[in-house]
Amino acid sequence: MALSYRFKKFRLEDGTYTKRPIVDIILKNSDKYLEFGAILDSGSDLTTIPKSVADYLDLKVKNEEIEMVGYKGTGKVKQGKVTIIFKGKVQRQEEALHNVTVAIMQDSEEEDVIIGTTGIFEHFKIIFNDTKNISLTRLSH
Amino acid sequence: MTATNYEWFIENNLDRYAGKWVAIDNNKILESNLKLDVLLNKVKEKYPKSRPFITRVRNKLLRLHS
Repeated sequence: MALSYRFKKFRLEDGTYTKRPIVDIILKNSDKYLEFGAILDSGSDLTTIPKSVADYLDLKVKNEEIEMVGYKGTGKVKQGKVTIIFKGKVQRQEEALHNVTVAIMQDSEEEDVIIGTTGIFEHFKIIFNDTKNISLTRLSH
Repeated sequence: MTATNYEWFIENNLDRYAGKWVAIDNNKILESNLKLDVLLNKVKEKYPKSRPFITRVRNKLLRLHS
């Protein structure tokens, strides 16, 4: 069964509106977890999370810093692994992906949870339909 | 069936929280703050049993990657 999510309308500073594809996910590390509304971004290589989330989840983080090009220019990130659960309307519809590599933004001003392609898109058939929804169907391997 | 916190977020106008992170539970805003770490601490302190849906009401245009 496909998971179905929606576009959310956001009012921008200049009074115009934009719609963004928001998915309902849980980021989990052992017994710690947080539920987020995250942007599903087919143009982002990695899933990115703020440092405060990595700290909250007690993620094991690699020491090495790498550069990542983001919307504020190039920023430093560290990498960690997390379980991402895509929530459904009911619990039995959930789809979990384990050991997904995430980029942890080191700049405290860069606070967004963005679901990128690596470790995610190869597991789903994803359809973006701006007027209706975003559907994710788990692929069997 | 009751709306999930996600559905409540999608369907409701949260323009008054523009730019802020919000924590939603039982179809209401528990807390909001410009900083995520502050929001997480407030929720932990004031609603220790709650497992809210957290998201940002972004009011700036996004260009995620060049």
